[in-house]
Amino acid sequence: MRDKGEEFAIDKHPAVYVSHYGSLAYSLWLNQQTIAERARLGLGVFRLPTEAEWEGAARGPEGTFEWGTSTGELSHELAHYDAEATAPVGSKPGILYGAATLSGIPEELKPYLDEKLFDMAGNVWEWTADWYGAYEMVRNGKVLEYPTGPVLGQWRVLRGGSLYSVDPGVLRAAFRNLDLPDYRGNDFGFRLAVSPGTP
Amino acid sequence: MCQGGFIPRGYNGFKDAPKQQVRVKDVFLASHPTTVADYARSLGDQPLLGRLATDTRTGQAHIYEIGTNADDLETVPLSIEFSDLMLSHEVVELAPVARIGSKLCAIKERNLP
Repeated sequence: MRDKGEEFAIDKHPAVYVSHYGSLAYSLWLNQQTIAERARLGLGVFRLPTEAEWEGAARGPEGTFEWGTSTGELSHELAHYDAEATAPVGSKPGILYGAATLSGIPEELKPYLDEKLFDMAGNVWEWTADWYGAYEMVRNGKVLEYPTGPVLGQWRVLRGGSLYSVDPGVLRAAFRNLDLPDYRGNDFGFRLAVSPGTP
Repeated sequence: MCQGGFIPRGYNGFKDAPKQQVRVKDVFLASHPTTVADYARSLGDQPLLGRLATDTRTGQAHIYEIGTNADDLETVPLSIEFSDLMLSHEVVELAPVARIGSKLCAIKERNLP
């Protein structure tokens, strides 16, 4: 029987073996649980981030980070990779956004915000909302500021690298991984996103 | 059995996203990936159900609906490869609770009567 300390530690690890569909099921559940709260805060539905949103966040406040770490550099002190097991979330320094101090954010929302973004590089690959395809920059003659990927596809995009990543290149903010949406990898997880909107 | 040293598919030959266009606007990301505790809470006491489709070419089964009530499964987005599938309508219980590193391996997947 595991002791309480170990159990607590396991609970803080990222969930893995979650397919893209599993992440959607979780967001459905969470949205059902939080309808009233999201209405009060003026938030839309929880969803997977697009890969552009994910990368935009990983690149840091100035958009200049090569790796999604606290300094934009890669080291074992800054990211969890080339390892044998997942690490508890937040065990490495986070990217400082200072979200709670940004202007334009409703006061009632600030208690729900974290100043930092953790585990963008390493720990688990993270599913994004996008089908994999050519990264479209222009559609119908217009430059896309917020691309959302192809309408249909076979593979979903994952970002960020994982505990098993050895090559620093795959941990970069720009690197795109992909897999079938029903595939459950032992280093595949996800994080959710939410935008202001109708619950 | 748990497997270690897994190398995700798709490592080679895929291009990076162009750097100049990625922006973030009006979106909040969770500060960290969804944890085991978060995910387990979503399962609660209810089984998570999926409906299977079988690929007639390969015999491989895919999940195409997911939910907690067999009569009201949520249809999830399909990949284009599903267009040639024969649907079996078999409902299975999914328990995608994680293996954590080398400490825990608790994947359960069984057919319902």
